[in-house]
Formats: sequence, structure tokens, C-alpha cells
Amino acid sequence: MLGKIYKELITIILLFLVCWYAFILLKPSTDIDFSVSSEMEESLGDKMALQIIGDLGGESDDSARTLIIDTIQNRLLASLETTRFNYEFHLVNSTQINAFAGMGGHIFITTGIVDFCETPEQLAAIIAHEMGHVEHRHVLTKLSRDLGVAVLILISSGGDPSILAEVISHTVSTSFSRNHEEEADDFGLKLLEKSRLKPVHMATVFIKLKTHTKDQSIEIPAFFSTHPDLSDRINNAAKYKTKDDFSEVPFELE
Amino acid sequence: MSRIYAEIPQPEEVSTREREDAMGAYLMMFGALAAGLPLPIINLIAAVVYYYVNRNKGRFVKFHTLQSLYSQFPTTILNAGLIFWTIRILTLTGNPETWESDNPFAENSLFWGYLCVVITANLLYFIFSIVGAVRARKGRMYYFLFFGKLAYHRAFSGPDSAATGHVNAPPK
Repeated sequence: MLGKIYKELITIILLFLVCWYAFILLKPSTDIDFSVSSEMEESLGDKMALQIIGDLGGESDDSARTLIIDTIQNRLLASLETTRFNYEFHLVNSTQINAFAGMGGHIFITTGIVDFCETPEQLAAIIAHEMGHVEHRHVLTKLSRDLGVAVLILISSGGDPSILAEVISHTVSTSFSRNHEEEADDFGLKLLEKSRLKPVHMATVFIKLKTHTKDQSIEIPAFFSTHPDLSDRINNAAKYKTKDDFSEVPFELE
Repeated sequence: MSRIYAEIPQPEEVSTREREDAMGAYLMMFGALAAGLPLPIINLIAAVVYYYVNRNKGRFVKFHTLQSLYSQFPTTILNAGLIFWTIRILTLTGNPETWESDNPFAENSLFWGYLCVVITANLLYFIFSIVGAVRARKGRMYYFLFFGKLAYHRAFSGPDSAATGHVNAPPK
């Protein structure tokens, strides 16, 4: 009898563990699967980019800064075998220290953050992070999460661009979720390594931004979100292990 | 050495009073359950008290009260764990200001899995308790997985002196 009791005890414990594991696997994803095609997102992103650039103070025609952005984007894009979108990098006239991903491959970089970064490698780290948001379609996911299916229907039906622009402007200016930031960091670190740039540049620029925002008591830029924990993000970036044969090829910019 | 177990009483040998007391062991839980939320320990205390009050009312009653009590242990521990984990998330990791984008409950897979297991365990406990109560009312035995055998082992182990007609039992 005691033998049977022990057997059934083990059965119950195993059942408990198996059920727990099964329920973990069955957890519905918090990222909503929606039927907005990449082409549709790209087309919408094109329309919205103009509005966002206008809101931020227009596109900069500064040749030196544009050269830096072009050089970085060429290096990063060359390291990606395929991309979800045709990327467009916009240098925006704004003293704000900010960079963020829009929809459909648009990435907005302020002149403020270009000046803030001490090296092109640091700026590349920020841009690589933003490309992570683009490749994972985080803006669209965030839209559906924050504002519901109604916005997706509006997008799918090609709704009023001015309303959509307002909605998207709001979305891109607020921070992403912890999972999204981690995904973007992870993507950015891998992309830096592929591009023969040290991933540690991401940690360096994060520390610099952290110190700056603390010293100036200014609002932390959306892309440099306070969650997940800032120290964790810095640690993750600093601890990223590159392959043994990795060596950095710095940008040759004056 | 194999253990000696007393004979199990057949339905016709179980009095109405015993049947009702045995059924009460399961039904008492539902009253305690309402009082016990959000403190599952109250259910457990109620089960222990019920057992001590009824344990000398015959092996049939003892078996059902023990089965009810034993099955209450894991349910209580699971429920208490859920409450503790929820409070921990709320107080340590939860920041309501960021919940619009970061819901600590939705993004914690371990917690989600545990929550589902606890809900399932409570549902099973509820269903088995109802079945146990109905069977007890009919004077029948009903064995839960593991807890049934454990309760049987405790309630029926040792020869039944009344059944064999022996008044004097050997020293224990």
C-alpha cells in the first residue's frame, strides 16, 4: 500500500509540473498578430514621415552630419542579408537628443543626438537599436496594443492620413515595452558585431545618455527607455560576447 | 511485513449520521472557502478542526474527513503561493505607471502558467469534493488520486477490534 501511495505522490507532482510547463507553452502571445502587410506599412510610413518631420522642425540638409548618417547606414545595411523594408534615414533639425523608429522602415535621427555622440560608432549603436524596432515591427504592435483594433482597421482601410499621423506621432514618441526594448537591443548588438563594430559602443552611449539626463535633470528620450532597468540594459550590452575572430573596423570619418 | 487493514464497511452498515458527517467533511470546505478568501489558511484550519471533532465517529467518517483534509493541503499551499507571488509582483516589480506598455502579469510566463495550474487544481478539487460528498452520502467509499490511498491507510490500518469481537486490544 505504501509503495502505491508513493507512486501516486510522484504522479501528482509530475502532473503538476507537466501542467505548469504546458500552460507556460500555451500562454497567448502579448504581441498581436495582425494582417497589415509590410507593403501597406511601408506605404503608410511614407505618408506619415512627412508629418513627423514637419512636427520636429524639418529635415536637415547639413552635409557633414548627413555624410555620417549615410556612412553608418551603408555599413549597417550591408551587414543585413535581407531587410523587411526599404530603409529611409531622416536627419531632423532638432536639438533634442533623440532617435526613433517610425513605420515602414523610417528612422528619425535628430541633429542633437548626432552632435551628442562622441564617435560614429556610438551613433551606429543607437541606429542599430532603432533598426531592431523596425525589423520586429514594434511600432505597429504598439499601435495595436495601445489603441486597439480600431486603428488597425483604419490603417487597413487606408483611413484619414491626418488622424493616423497624429496617432502614430503619439505612438513613436512614447516608450516601447520591456520585451520590445530587449528585442531591439539584442538585434542592435548582433548587427553591430556583423558590421564589424564593437557591441560595447551601445553600453558606452547608454552610460553617456544616463549621465547626461541625470546631470541635466531632463526627460529621458523615448528610445532610451527606463524599462527594462537601465543598468540591466547597460550590463547586457557590456557583457555581449563577440566571436573569437572578431575585430573592429572603425569608421573613417574626419 | 504486510500491514493489516480493517474491513471496509458496506453501505448498509453505515448509519445515516455517519454518512452525513462524512459528507459534511467535503461540503464544509465550500463554506470555509468563501470565508477563506483571500486567506486560504482558514480553509485548512477549518478542515483540521472538522477532523479532530469527527475522527472518533468510525473509520468511514475518519476516512472521508482525512481525505478532505489531505486534499486541502496542496490546494492551500498553491493558493497561498499565488497570493504571495501576486503581492510580490505588485509591490516589487510592478510599476502601474508603465503598465500601459509593460504589464508584469501578462509578460511573466511562469506566473501565467502557475495561475492556470492553480485555477485547474481548484476546479478539480471542487469537482472531486462534490463527487466525494455525494458518494459519502450514499455510504460509499471514493478515492482521490494519492489522497484517497493515504486516507485509507491512516483510517483503516490495524485490525478492527469491534469487527472481530475482541474487546481487549494488545498494547500499542
